[in-house]
Amino acid sequence: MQTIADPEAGPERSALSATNGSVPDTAFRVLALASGLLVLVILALIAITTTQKAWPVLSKHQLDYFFSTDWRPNEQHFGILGFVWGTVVASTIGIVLAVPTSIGIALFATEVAPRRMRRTITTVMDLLASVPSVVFGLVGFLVLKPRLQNWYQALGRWCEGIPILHNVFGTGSSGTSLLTAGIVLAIMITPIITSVTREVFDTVPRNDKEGALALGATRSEMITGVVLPHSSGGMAGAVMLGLGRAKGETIAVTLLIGGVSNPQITVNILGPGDAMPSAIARNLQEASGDFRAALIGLGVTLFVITMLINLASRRIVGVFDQRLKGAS
Amino acid sequence: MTATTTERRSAAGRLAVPTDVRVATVTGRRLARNRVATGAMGLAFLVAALPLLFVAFTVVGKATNVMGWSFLTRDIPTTAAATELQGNCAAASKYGGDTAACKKVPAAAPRPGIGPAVVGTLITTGLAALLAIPLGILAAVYLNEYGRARPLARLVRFMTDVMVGVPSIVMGIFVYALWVVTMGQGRSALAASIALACLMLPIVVRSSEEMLKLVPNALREGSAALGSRTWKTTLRVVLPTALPGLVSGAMLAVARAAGETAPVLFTIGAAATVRQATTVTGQSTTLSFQIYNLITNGGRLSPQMAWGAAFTLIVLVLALTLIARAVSARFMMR
Amino acid sequence: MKIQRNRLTPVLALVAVLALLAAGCGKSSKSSSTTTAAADQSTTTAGSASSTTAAGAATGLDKVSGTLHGQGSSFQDTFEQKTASDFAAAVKSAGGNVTVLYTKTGSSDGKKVLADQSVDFAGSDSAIKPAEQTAFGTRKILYFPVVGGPISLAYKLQGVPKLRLSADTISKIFQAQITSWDDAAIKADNPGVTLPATKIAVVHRSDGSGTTSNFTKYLTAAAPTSWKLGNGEKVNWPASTQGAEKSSGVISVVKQTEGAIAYADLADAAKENLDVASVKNSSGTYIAPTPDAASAALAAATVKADLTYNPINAKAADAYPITSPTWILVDAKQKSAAKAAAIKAYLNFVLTTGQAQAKSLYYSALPKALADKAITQIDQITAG
Repeated sequence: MQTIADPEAGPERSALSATNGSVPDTAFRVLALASGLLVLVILALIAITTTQKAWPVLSKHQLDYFFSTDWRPNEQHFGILGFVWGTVVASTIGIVLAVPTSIGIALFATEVAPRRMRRTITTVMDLLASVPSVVFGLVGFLVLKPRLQNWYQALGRWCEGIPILHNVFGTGSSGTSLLTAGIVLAIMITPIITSVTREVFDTVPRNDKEGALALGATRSEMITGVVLPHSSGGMAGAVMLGLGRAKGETIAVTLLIGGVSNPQITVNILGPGDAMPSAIARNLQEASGDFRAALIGLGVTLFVITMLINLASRRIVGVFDQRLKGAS
Repeated sequence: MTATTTERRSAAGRLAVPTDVRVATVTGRRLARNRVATGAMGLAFLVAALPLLFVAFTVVGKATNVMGWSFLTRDIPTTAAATELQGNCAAASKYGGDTAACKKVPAAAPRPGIGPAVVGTLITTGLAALLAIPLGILAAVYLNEYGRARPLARLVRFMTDVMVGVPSIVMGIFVYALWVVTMGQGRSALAASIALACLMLPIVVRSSEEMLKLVPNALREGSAALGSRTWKTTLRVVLPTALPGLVSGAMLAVARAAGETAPVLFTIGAAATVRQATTVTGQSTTLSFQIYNLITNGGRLSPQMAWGAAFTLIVLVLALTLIARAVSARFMMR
Repeated sequence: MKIQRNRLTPVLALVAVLALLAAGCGKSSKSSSTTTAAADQSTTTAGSASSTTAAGAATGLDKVSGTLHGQGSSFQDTFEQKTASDFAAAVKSAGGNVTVLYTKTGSSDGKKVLADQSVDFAGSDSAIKPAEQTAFGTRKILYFPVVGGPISLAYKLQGVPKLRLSADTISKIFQAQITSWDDAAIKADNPGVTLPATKIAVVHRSDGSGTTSNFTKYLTAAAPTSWKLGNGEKVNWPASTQGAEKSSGVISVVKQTEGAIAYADLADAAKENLDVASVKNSSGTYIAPTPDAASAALAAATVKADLTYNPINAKAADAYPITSPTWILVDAKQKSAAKAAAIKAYLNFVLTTGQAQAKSLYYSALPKALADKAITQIDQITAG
């Protein structure tokens, strides 16, 4: 199949090339190749320039930069763990809320809804995905924040005295908090996870599904028995994709996470926190010297996490797929 | 698809009419569970649709105060905060301000406008599209027509996936560190569009490669059989065939870039007049960036303008998305 | 003149060539515009601070043209925008044509872009720090004081419309050592006032800010023993306090939260009609944050030769102690005569007509002596 289209496929091609001057072909190939390589070049440049700019602080603090929660720009001490924690907590809240919802929607669309409604679902999800981050930030900041503040304070009072809940839903919230950021992230990644899981569910063989139904399974049994096991790899991939988006989301989170000058590791999700992208967005414009280097270092960390998530998702999807093959 | 639905219904229907009483009790519980599960799925959809409706109603409702042609073309008022402060007599007496000045009616009350952001968005997104789309399609051509399964192509493909996942703010930092700081080029519409182009490039590559894959190999073989070389085949046969798909993919990438704020934050600077924003190498502003600024400005006029700008941005992004969908739907039908 | 850097594209190179040509043409009128600028200098210095249009034509504002770009301090933004717009109007009615564009990006950013010469002037709430100096090389930078302004302590507490605080109490509140409004320290500051047992919610800026810097500088100076957090655009606030984005964010949280207190520029508190506390100054008097009380602080500060000064915790009986200064920074040597003329006319306008409306915007006007010194300094700006 490929042999003819492939320019370097051996003797036949070179025989053909004698008839048409090979200059434009070579030029075009080089051009295409260069464009392909551009992706590598840009990624390399991102890695090199950002690391280089962050180096003064990275080399000075070394591992302390990543594993300390001590972020004091005035005293030139930079430990980013508090921001990493904020990102992890907000993203986790986002994932925990978004994954069940997305799977529900995807199942509803593929297994339950009549055909006409499917299109509505796709459209709604596409529209939701196209709403710019800053608009969520706007609605959250100007409209929802005051209401959330009342609800959160009520929730905090209600949980007072109850052991674990008291820690997770502590008092003193202004409406912008790790939870608010997590909820917004959930809204933003739901369309992504939904569309991928839908595609995955669509690949479940129709025979398997009909077989289960023919054996007397109800629809929910068919879903738990056939659709979900078959799709575990793809769903894991979708979750990783959502996580990838959530960790780097900037503007909406910046406006809604609260903003703490030196975030600590806390489980109080009603309290304010700060995330890595938000810290950059808030401070880079004004920063100079080591402070700027430390902020760019946050960017380097985000970049490295992106690489790790990509590698991990390949591995996870691979493992699930293999297990499935072994099972069937 | 319709056939499957009816088949499935009939299968379920058959189950609902048991012949054995013992089975019937079990089925009742199972059916109940089935109903609950179905209800939960529908509920999930409603839960996800709610934020969309809420955002849509809020933005549309609040934007009507300012929306209009003149809002879209007028300069951003710079003296709104000053006028509001000067006209507030109650505050003047409470905080020891100028109690005489508040009674004077300002010569011209500042009127809301967002013109520079509209112009800036069009320029930066347009420039980013000019940079990213040709390069992205060429890279896709390399992947699908030349590289295919070679190790280098696989590496490029993997790295493209990685690049799709790189947070948009990292693109902003990258261009800020390289272009603005190291190369000393300063903040400009161009710097912002480079950052946006970095964001768009991998999206264009991925979608274009998918579209090129859909072009039947028979077309390539036919063209080659007529003596065309790969470049001619690609330009004359493959790309024209895939054109609608390429266009829709590119438009989705443009829509994404138009709504982004993070890459623009440190790279674009600021502009308050349409004349100032009509630039490539000078500082400018975009709708998303302006909304972010207006949110944190306070006062009375700023939030109104933020809603208006948000409405404009949503309409722009939506229009691009819907056109892209229409184009791709036509492509899929062919 | 709009193009400040050459970029690689040939089209842009062409534009640059055109711009250079235009600049060359501009130079031919050099001698005439410098002389007029010098002339209008002497007249407006003597002239009154009120009339704009009538004086405009007489003082040669009709010769002023071009665009001035300024960037930096958010604190002076409201004043700067209003003055810039009034200046443009005055020039226009005199027959000239000028645009002054000011963008608030923060003081340190303002100094950064002035250093790389991408703006004509910077707005800054602080002088150039030694670390920032290298970027300026040997260029001489002039400081022009613009206005001052009180940083208020805005709070929300039912039934307490008037509150008095001393530096030590403020320092303990913001370090979360005092957590309730009926604390003995607050009671001691407010004899005869019934204070509720409401929990104090401390709100601070989450972004780097000159307001934070000046507020913490005040606490460092006025409460040296109890204030432990140092000073700067960002400080390490206790975990139990809340951050909020920009001054509008801080104000909206205070407005929402019973028992909240925050520091903010007076204009921001005034916008939302929040109660503000009187602060005990170094002579032991409780002073309400008003433009006039801040003016008194400006008058009491010692002004250095380069016109920098520190009005924080100033020693005067009627001075409000938490007062911010702010400056416009310009190069003493301007690139062209036209630019020099425009910037001189603008500075003159800021220091005369602009001062008259400072109070209506909740800024404090410069004391006459300081404004006069600044006006004299305008002559040091030259073209070349």
